[in-house]
Order: sequence, then structure tokens, then C-alpha cells
Amino acid sequence: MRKPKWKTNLYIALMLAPALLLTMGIIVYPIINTVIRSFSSPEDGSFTLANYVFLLTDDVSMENIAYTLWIVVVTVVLSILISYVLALYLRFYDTKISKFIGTIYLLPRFVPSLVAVYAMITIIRDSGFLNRVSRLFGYNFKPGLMYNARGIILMNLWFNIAFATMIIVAALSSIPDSMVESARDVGARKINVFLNMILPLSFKDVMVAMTFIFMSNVSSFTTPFVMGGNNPIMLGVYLRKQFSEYSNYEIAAALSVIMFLFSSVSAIIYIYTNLKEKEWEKAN
Amino acid sequence: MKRKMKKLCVCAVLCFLMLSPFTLFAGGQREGSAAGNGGGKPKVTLWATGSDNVRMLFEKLIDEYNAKPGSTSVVELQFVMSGSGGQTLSDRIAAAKLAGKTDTDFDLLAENGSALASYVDKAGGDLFVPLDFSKIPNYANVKMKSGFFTDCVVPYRGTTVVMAYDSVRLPNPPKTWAELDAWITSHPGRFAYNPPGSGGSGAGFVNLALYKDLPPEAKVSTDEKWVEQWGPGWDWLKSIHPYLYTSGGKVVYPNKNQGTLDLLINKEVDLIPAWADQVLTNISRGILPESTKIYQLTPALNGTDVVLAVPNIGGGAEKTYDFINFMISPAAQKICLETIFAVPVIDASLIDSTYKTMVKDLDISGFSVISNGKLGDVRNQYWDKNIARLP
Repeated sequence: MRKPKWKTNLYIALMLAPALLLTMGIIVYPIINTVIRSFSSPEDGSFTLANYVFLLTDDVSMENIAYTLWIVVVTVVLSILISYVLALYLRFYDTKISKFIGTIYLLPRFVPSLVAVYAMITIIRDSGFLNRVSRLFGYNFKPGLMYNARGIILMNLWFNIAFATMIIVAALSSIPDSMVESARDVGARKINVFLNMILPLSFKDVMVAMTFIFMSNVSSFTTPFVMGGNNPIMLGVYLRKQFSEYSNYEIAAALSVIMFLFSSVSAIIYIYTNLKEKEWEKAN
Repeated sequence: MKRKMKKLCVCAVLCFLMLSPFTLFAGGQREGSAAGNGGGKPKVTLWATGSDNVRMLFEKLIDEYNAKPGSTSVVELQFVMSGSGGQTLSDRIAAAKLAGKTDTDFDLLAENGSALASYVDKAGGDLFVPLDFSKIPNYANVKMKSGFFTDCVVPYRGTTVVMAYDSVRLPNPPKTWAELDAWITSHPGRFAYNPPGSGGSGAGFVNLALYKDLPPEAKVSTDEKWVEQWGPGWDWLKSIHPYLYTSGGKVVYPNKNQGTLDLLINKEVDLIPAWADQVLTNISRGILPESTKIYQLTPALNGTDVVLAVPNIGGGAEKTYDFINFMISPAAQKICLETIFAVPVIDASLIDSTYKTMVKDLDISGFSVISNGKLGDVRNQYWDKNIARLP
């Protein structure tokens, strides 16, 4: 490649400047501000660790952190499992049903989240659709899914399965049929093809999906606010409480930083798996 | 090439990561924009806060006023939706005031009378300009003079928390506090209120529990000493906890005013505290059945007048008088009543509307006002820590 001249470099810098300035102004500056505030005392603004100490020792706060992580981990595991099976089905079975599912499975991505949440509520609330159907048959079935973790996880699955399936299907599509067929030709059993070929080849994309699901759910607000109970609550709702109900701005800032760190851990795992070259890939 | 793609991917993840938690916290600051001037009349920017029905009300009223041939100013609305940034309206006004600004566009403020204390707490006692009532002729018709900053405000509607129930399932609702206590414990799972931090009807109910036996001066005080007197109220709230609405085997306090209304709509409970205007709006739209009724407990749940006030950092009181006068005219009071079932501040006989019967039992002069300013935060925090966590 030709070495770029300084003029070209200047041109690139000029083109990037507005985006960079915008990023500095609306992302970097608030982040720095938040981090500084999280170490400030509410009374006189002096340096203190009290906000973090409170969040990491207070009973309510610790319950909320544990509750959030639990919901997010369950959401990640279940949505990946379900998505993987669904993706395998969509990729390797060529039937009318699989084609139909293939066309509609992305639909949840296009429904506004608040609409989806309320639609789900009308079905699963104790007096909702399921309950009314059961009463037609003389039962009084109460799903008990509202105001607790089960409902939130159900809703999270609704949002995330479509997304994870989309990513995994893309990964599986890049595995050529000829490879699978040749393995089968030399006598590999289906389970071996899956464990030794398909799984390793799609592993990275599964990590991508997991990372994104983890990050978007750690800070989720709408679903836990509308469907969740009063205690424990997820961190997004807890943050809002600290911020606009208790007016504890410093604690809210510290909580933001903690949520940021949770997301960072998953991002580091993602970056690590992504940058690690597989031995056989190096040949490419 | 492949490596480049990877780098891009990593960048995308980092950007996403940075945005996700912080957007929540760094959320919306919005500044008022100056709009065109209508035919040389001075522009009045009205700042209001509340739920969406209040926004609809003001849009209607302002259209009506601006279209009126005799109007002497052009009013423009800046609306701050409660729950998203409601608190920042008082913060914003306080920030402008404390920064020494005197020529802002905070010309006129519409706010609950009981909330004004928190504005003054933050911005100082001289925030509101005393009004010259001789320039507001319709003020003579106003039945109720506000209990807060009486010389600086004009009430334009009343709003109150009431008890709402379904008369088919519950023919004889409990009318007094003692009856309510007995009814809740003998009808497990049929009563619900929302967390005080999530909406005014739950806050009104909790406030009444805390303040009903305290001296009258406590109800309008922001002095921390009253927090110690809340004990019996908290004990009572704890005692009814096991008898409240349950879902999935746990007692649940549904979030927001609408949360408890939804339970009443879906027949999951029979009795709730709710804002009168929200219940009446739901009935008129057919969401709640006609058999839904409202009544006031004895002692009464929290009500307040909603007032217009002029901050001393705006364009001055003079140009706002004509609009304030319009707001308490029979025509505007009729719009308030018919749009959001607001309790009129002028005598009902002056208003020509069939909606009057729906609010006839809600007498604004009998409202019980609790205005505890910053103590509301203390209350919410205690409730979340001690009531919400009960098994």
C-alpha cells in the first residue's frame, strides 16, 4: 500500500474531528464527571470512598446487585441455549416450518420495548389471558409471573433470543455444507460433527452474543421497572431510585461506575476471545 | 482485512459499553427554545410538570388563549414529564436563580401548591414574586386561597387522592381509618397501594398513615424532627402488609399510580387509593367500568391546589396577568374539568358542564394538604428499606 501523504492525514483528521468532539462532549466528559462525582462527598465535595462502601456493604444494595447478576446470568445462559438450538434448526433443516420461523424470528427486534412489555403483561398477569383461558375450562390458573424475577427473565428471553439467533445463524451459515457432508461421508456421527466442527467454529460468535446480552441486561430499566417487584430490584431501577427519588446523586454516580465495571468484565472476555487467534486460523 | 474487522468489532463493543450504563445517569437536560413572536405581543413561557394528561390540558388551554382576540400575550408551553425529569424543573429553576441569572424564560410556573416548598428550599425564599391581584379580576371568584405563599400564587385547579372501588364487588366501602384497617385485615389480598416513590397516590396514602395523628403544623413542615413521630404510622403500614395484594405468593406493591389502577381494572383488587382525576378519566374512557366509584376517607387523603406562580428570574409578573386571569375564568375552568376532571377553584354554578356531577363530592376547601418537601425523600427511602423488604 502507498504511504499516505500528510495532506491525506490532515484530511482524515478533519473528517474525524466532529465525531471525535461529539464523542468527547457527550460520552467522555459525562463519564469523567460521573467518576469524579462518585468519589465526592455529598456535603462538601471532598474525596471519599463512602459512596462505594455504602453500595458494597448496605444490605439492600447488595441484594440488588446479587439479584441483578443472577437475572442476567440466567438470561444469558437460557437465551444462548434456546437460540443455539433454534439456529441449528434454521440452518440445517430445510422445511416449510423452518423457513416460516426464519422469516418471522426477527420480529421482536421491531416491536418497541414498552409495547412488548405491556403486551406480555396482558398475557401473563394473574388476571391475564392465560388466566381467562383457564377459567373457560373451570380452572383458576395464576401464572405468578408478574412482580418477580421469573417475569423479567421471560421478557428478557423474548427480547434476546431473536438477537442471539440472528448472530448464531450468521455464524452457522458460514460453515459450508460441503464440509459437513464430507465429514459425514468419512463416517463421522452427527454428534461428532457438532462437537468437533460446528461448535468450535461458532464459538466466537456465541461469545459475541453473550457479551451483548450481558451488557444490555445489566443496565436494563423498562422491563424490571414495569414488571419487577419492590424488593430486590435490578440495578437500573435502583439507580433511578437513588437519582430521582432519594436525590443521592453521588451514590447514583458510584452505582453507574459499578454497572460500568460489570459490563467491562464481559467486554474484556469478549475482546480476549476475539483477539486470540486459533492455530488453524493462522493459515488464512 | 480480517484483523481490521476485528478491531472495528472491538471498537463497537467499547462504544456500546460506554453508552449503556451512562446514558441512564447522564439523562436529558433540555433547554427551552425561543419561538416566534405573535404580532408584537410579549411571549410568556409557561413551565409545567405532571403526567401526560396535564400536558394535553395545557396544550388545549394555550391554544384557546392564544386564539382569543383580546389576549395580551402569546403563551408557549415547556412541559417536563414527571418521573423522567420532573425533579429537574425545580433543580433547573434553582440552578438559574443561584447562578444569579435574572432574565431567563421561566416566566410562569404551574405546580402543585404542596410542591412549592421544595422550590423555595432550593432557590431561596424570594423566588416567587408577590402578585397584584387587582390586575386579575377573576381572582374574586376563586373560592379557595392557597395555603402556601398565598400572596404569590393563584390556584387554578384542585387535585386529590381518593379511595376508588368497584361498587358491584364492594357495596359498602370502609369510610374511616378504623373501618379501613378492619376491612383490609378481613379481606386479604383485595387492597393495594403503590410504593410512595413511584407515584403520588401511594405517597398520599403513606403520608396519611404517618401524619393522621400528628398536630396540624407537622403536615406543612419540612423539619426533620417530625420524622421521629412517624413510628406509629410505620407500625400500622407494617401490620397491614401481610393482608395486601399478592402475586406469585408474595405481597406486591405495583409500581406507579397506573399500577394500582391496573389491578382495579383487572378485578385483582377491590379498593385502592388513587388520584381522582385518573380514576374519572379511566371511567370516561370505558377502561374502568361505570360501577367504579370514588369517595374520600375520614380523615381525608392528601389533596392539593395546583397553582400558577411567577419566579423572580423571568420576564416579570405584568405580562402574565392576562393569562392567569384566563386560567380562572369559567371558560378555562370548564376545559380543565372536561379534559382531566380537575376540581374547579371557582363556584361550580359558574361553570356550564355536565361533568360537574362527577366531582361534586370533592370540595377543594376541605382538602387535607400534606407538604413535607425534602422529608418525602426520607419517607421513600425508609419505605423501600423497611416495608418493601418485609417477607
